[in-house]
Amino acid sequence: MENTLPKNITETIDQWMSKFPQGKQRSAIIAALHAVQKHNDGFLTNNLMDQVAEYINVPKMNIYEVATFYSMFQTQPVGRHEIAVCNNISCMLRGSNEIIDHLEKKLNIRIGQSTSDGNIFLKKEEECLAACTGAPMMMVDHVYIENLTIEKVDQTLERLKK
Amino acid sequence: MTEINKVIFANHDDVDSASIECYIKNGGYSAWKKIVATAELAKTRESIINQVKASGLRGRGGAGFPTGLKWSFMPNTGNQQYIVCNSDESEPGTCHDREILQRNPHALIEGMAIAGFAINATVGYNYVRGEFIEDCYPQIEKALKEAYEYGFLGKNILDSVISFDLYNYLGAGAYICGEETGLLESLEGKQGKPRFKPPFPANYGLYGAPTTVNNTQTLATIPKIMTNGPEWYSSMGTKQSPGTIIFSVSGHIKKPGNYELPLGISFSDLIKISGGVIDDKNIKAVIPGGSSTKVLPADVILKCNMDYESLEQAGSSLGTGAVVVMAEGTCMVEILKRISRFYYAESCGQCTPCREGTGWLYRILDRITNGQGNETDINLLLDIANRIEGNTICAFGDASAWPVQSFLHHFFDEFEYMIKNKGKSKAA
Amino acid sequence: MTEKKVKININGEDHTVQQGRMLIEITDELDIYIPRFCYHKKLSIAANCRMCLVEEKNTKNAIPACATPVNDGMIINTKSNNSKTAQQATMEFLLINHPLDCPICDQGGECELQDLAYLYGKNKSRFDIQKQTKPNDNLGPLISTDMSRCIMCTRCVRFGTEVAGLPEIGTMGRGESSTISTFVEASIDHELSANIIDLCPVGALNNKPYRYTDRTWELDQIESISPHDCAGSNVYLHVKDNLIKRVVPKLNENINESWISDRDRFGFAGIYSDDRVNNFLVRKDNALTSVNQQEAIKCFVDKLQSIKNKNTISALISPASSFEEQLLFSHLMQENKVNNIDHRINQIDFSGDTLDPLFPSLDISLNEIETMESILVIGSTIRKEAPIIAHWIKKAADRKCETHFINHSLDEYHFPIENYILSENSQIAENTGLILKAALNLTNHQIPDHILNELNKLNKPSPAHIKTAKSLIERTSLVISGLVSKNNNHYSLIRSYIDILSSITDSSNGEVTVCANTPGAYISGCIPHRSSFGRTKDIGLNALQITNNNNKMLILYNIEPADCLFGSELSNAIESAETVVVFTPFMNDIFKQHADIIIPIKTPYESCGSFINISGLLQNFNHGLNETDTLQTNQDILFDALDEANAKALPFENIISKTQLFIAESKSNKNKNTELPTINPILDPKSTRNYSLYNVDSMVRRSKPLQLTRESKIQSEKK
Repeated sequence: MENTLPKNITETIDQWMSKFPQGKQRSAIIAALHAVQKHNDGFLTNNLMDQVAEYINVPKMNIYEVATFYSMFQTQPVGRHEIAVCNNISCMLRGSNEIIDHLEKKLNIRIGQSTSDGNIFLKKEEECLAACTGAPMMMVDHVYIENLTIEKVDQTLERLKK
Repeated sequence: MTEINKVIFANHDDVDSASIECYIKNGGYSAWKKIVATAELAKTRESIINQVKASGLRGRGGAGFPTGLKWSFMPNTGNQQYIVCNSDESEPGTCHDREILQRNPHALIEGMAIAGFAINATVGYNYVRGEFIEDCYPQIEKALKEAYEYGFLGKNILDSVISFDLYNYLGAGAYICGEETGLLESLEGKQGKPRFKPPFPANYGLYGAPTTVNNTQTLATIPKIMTNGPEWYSSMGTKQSPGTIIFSVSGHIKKPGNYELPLGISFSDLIKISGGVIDDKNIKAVIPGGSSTKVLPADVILKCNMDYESLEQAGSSLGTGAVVVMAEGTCMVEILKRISRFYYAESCGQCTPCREGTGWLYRILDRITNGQGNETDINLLLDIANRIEGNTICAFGDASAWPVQSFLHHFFDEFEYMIKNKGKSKAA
Repeated sequence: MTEKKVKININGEDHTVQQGRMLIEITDELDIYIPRFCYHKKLSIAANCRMCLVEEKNTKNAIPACATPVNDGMIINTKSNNSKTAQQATMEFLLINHPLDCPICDQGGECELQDLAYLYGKNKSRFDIQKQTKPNDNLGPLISTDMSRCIMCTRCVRFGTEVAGLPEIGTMGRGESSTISTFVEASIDHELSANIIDLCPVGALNNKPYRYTDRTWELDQIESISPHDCAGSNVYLHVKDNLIKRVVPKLNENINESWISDRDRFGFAGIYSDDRVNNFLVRKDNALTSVNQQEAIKCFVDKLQSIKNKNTISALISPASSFEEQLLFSHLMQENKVNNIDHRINQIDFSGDTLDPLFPSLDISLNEIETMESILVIGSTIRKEAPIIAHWIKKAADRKCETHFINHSLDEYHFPIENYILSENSQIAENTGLILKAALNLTNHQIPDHILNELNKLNKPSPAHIKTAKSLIERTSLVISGLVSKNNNHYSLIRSYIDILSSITDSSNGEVTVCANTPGAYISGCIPHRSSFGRTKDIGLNALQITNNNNKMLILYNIEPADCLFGSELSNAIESAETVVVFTPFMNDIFKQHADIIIPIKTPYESCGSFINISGLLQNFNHGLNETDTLQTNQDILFDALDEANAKALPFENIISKTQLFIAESKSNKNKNTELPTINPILDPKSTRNYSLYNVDSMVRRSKPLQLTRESKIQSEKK
C-alpha cells in the first residue's frame, strides 16, 4: 500500500515509537490515531487507519479494535469542532442538562449529532472530564471551559463560527 | 485552623509553580540529587522503601493500599522493570490530579524518579487521560523536557551510575483504563481491557515485565516525604490514615475546589472550608470518594471524619477523596440513574455480568424515571447488583453495583414513591 | 511451571497436584465437570465468560477455575450453593440479551449454551426489556454469522490471533455494544478459519453451506480420514440417508489436534457434483452406452488380455486412492504383465528412481514438528499443500524455532521467518546444494569425491546459505520438501541434496506429498520400478513416459487431466490411445469424447479403506460404514476384475498388519540416501502446477462452497 501519510504525521509517529522498547511499537497506535484524526478534521477513515497499520507494521485489526474502543476516536464523519459537555454527577448537579438543552436548540441538532454545515460535532460525553470543581463545564476541541453560563456558551459558539 | 496545602500544593500561590525554577527554589529535586549521589545503591533502595512504609502513605487512586508495601513486592530480576503513573483521572467527582499536572508537575516527575530507583525500574511511563491532550498534557510534557535539560533524567544522571527515562503517554477516552491492568493493556497499544489477577503487575506487568502502577497524587507526595522525612508526613492525619489528601469538593457547594488537607478532618470542617452548601440549604446526601464509593445520607456523614477508617465504619470508603455534595431537593433516583448510565457506558464489555448487567440496571432505572417502573423493580435491581458484585474480572463490576446497593438502602422510599407515582419525584 | 506438588481438596477429596496449574485443567482430568464457555484447551485463557466460578473456602468471592492456579491448602467445592449461585448468575446474564432462536438455530442440539442453560438457567426470565441485537458481517461462503447470539467468549478472536496467526476478526467497540466483527467488509480467508465454527459455543458462527439442512440428532457419525492431503487429518462424517451432510474434526493430538483445514471440512461437497458417473459405460458405435458391471469388466479384461505387446498398455492410478485399491490395482496389472504403472503425475524428473526410498515419508510424527528448533522448507507452498503441517510449523515457530524457506514465490507466513531464499524454480536445486556446501564447510564432514566435485561446480555459498546451514547444524532440525520441489525438473537432485544435507546436519527430513496416500502408492507397487513391498520387477515406463507412449490401452484410475502437472500431455495421451479405460467418480469432457470404458467408482468418503499418511501411519477410514451397510466398495470392483482375469488371488487377510510391519521395519532400517542422481539432460521444466488450496483433487475442485472462496476466485483470475 502506498503511504500517503504527510511527513509531519509520520514524524510524530516516529517520535512516539521511539518511546517504547524494540518490538513494542504497537504502543504508538493511540498517539498515531490522535495525530491522524486531528489532521483529518476530527474523524478517522478506513484508509487512514490502514495507513497507520502499515506504518507501524501491525495487523489492521489491531487498529480497528483500538479505534472503536476509545471514545475519543470517531470512525464516522463528524463536524470539525468538537463540543463535549460534561454531564456526570458533579456537573449534573450544577446544571449541565440545561447547557446541553441550550446547545441542542441553538445548533438545531440532538446530542451525538453534527451540524449540517459540518462545523460542529456535539459529542455525547459519558465520562466525568475531571474538572468537577469548575462545574458545569465543557471541552471545545479539548480546551476546557469551566464555570459555564449560557452567555459563555453563546460566546464560544460565536467564536467557532469564524 | 487546619493546615491546608502543605505538601503537593505547597507552592500553589506562586503563579509559576509549574516551572522547574520555582520547584527547585522551594527545595525540589534535592531528595533526588541526594539519592543519585549515593554510593550504596541497594542500601539506599531499602531505605527509601522503609521511609515510605514509615510515612504510612496509602495509594490515593482509590484503593488505599500501603504504598511502601506495594513497592516491596517488586522483585529484582536484573531485566527491565517499570514504574507507571496512573494519571488517567476519571473517577466521577475527582479533579485533583489534573491540578497536580497543571501546577506542580515536577513533584510527579521527581516522585516517579525516586520510585523507579527504589523498585529497580529504569523506565517510567506517565499515563495521562486522553481528554487532557490540550489541557494539562502540554504542561507535563514541558516539565519533562525541563527535567531532562537540567540533567535530572536520562542516562547516568548527574554523572552517577543511575539512569531513569520517563515518558508521557496519552489515553483516548476510556474510564476502564484507570484500572491498573486495563491501563497496562492500553499502554501496550491495545484496548484497555483489564487482565485477570493473578498474575499481578509486580510479576507480570507492562510488556510482561515486573511493574508497579501508582496514582499521580501518591507519587507526587514522595519528594516531600523524602525531603522532610516520614515522621513529618505521619505527624499529620490519623494513625490509620497518616498524612494529607487532596479533597475534590464539588456539587451543591459554594466554593468547589481542590483542598489539600490532613486526613481525619471532620466532614463538617471540610464543608466549612469549602464555603458551605449553596443557598445555605441542608445537605441531603454525600458521595465521599467518587461515584464508585457508597452514598451516605447527611445524618451519617455528618458524624464522620474524612479518613479511611471512619468512612469504612460508616459503610462507605474514602476512595479518591472526591466529595460530591447533594443538597435537599436532589432527586436520588435521577442521580442513581445517571451514575448507572456511566457504568453502563464505560464497561469494557469483557465479562458477562458487567457487560450484560450494567445495561440491565440502567434500563430498569430509566423506565422507573419514565413512569414505567414495576413493584418488583427494586428487589430486581438489588439482586442484579448483588449478582454482579464479586463475579467480575476487575473491580469495575463491584463499582457498578455499590451505588445501586447504597442508594436503594438509604433512599428506598424515593424509589418506591417514583414507581407508585408513575415517574414523579419525591424530592421535587 | 514448578515441579512442586501441593495438596488441594476438591468436593471433599484430597488430591496432590502440580503447583501453578489451573484448577479447571485438574478438574477436567479428574472428570469433575465445571461449566465453561470461553475456556478451551488449545487457546489462551480469557476468563471472561465467568461460567466456571466455583467456591474456594478461603476466598471471599467465587474464583474462576480457568484462571486460578492451584495453591497448597485450597478447598474447593464445585457443587456448593455458592458455586451454583455464581454460575446461575452468569447464566442469567448470558440469556437476557440472547435471542430465543433455538427453533431456527442450527446449533440447537449441539449448543453449549443450551446444555448449560438446561442445568443452570431459570425456567422463567425476569428480563422484560427489549433484547439488544447486533449486525451480521458477511464472512464469506463458509461461515455464517448471527451475531445477536454471540456471548463474546472471544474463542474465535483468539483462534485467529493464536492458532492462525492472523487476526481476521476482532472485538470492536466497548461494553454492551461490543461485537465480534471484521470491521471493514472482508471475508475470513485463512485456510484453517472454519474451525471457529466448532469453537463457537453458540450459534453465532455456523457452517454456512450446511445451514438449515439438518438437525444434529438426525445424523450418524462415521470415523474417517481426510483424502485431500498427506497429513491424514482425522475427521467425522455426519451422515443422513446415505448422504454426507458435513465433516467435522476428530481429535487426534498427534496429527491434527482438534482442527481440520477448510479444505478438509468442505471438500466433500464435490461428491454431489452434477457430473457424477453412476453407470458402467462402454462405447459402442461411438456412443457411450450404459451396461451392467459384469459386461463392463469383461469388456475391459478381455481387451486387456488381448493385447500381445504388454509395453503398449499403461496404467495410471491416483495417489488419493485407498491403499487397498492401489494394492489390488497394482496386482491386477502385475498379473497381466503390465509393467507401465505409475501414480506420479506431479513429477517430471525420474532420474532418481533408483535412489527412491521404499516410500516417501517424514522421519517424525506431525506433532513432533513442534519440538524442532530449526526447520528448512524447500520448494513448497506448504500452507496450501498441507495446511495442517504448516500449522505444526507455526507452532514450532511460536516456540522460537528458526524457520527457513527456499521457494519460487514469496509466500506469506504468520510467524517470524529467519531466512527466506527467494529462488527461481530453476535455481531451487542449486540453492539447496549451496546450503549443503555451506554445511560441509562448517562440519568437515567427509563425502565421496564425485559428489564433492559436483558441489564444487556450484558458486560460493552466500551468507544466507551459511546462516541456514549453521542453524540446521546447531539446533534440532528438520528439512522438508514439498510439491514445488516435486514438480521441479531437478527434483531428484533436490531430494539427494536434502538427504545428504540432513545426514550431515543430523536433521530429520521428509517430503510433503500430494493427496492422502502417496506412501501407499509406493508400498502397493503403483510405480514402474518396483513391485509391492519393495520387491523387484521388470521396469516399466514412468508417468511422463506413459503420456508419450504409443498406448494400445491406457487405464486411468481416479485421475483426470486437471490432477496432472503435465495435463496437456495426458490429455493428448487420452486422445491418442486406442482404448481408454477410466475408473472414475466424475465425468468430464475428455472422457465423454475419448473414453471407451467407464467404470464408476466411489469417492473415498463413500467407500472404506486405508490411507498411509506422511509419517507412515496407516489409518482406516469409514470402517463404520462397512458394518452398517451392504456397502459395495471399490475393492469389490477390482476383485471382480481379478476374477475375470483369472488372476492369482491376492492374500488380503492380514494385509493391514503385514503393511504396518513393513512400514515399521522400513523406518527402523531407513538408510539415508547419500548418492546423487544421474543427471537427466533434457526436461523442459513445467511451470509449477498452480497450487491453489482448492484445486488439489477432483472432489475439492467440484466443491461449490470452496470454489466460492476468495482464494479460488484469485486463482481462477490468474489462469
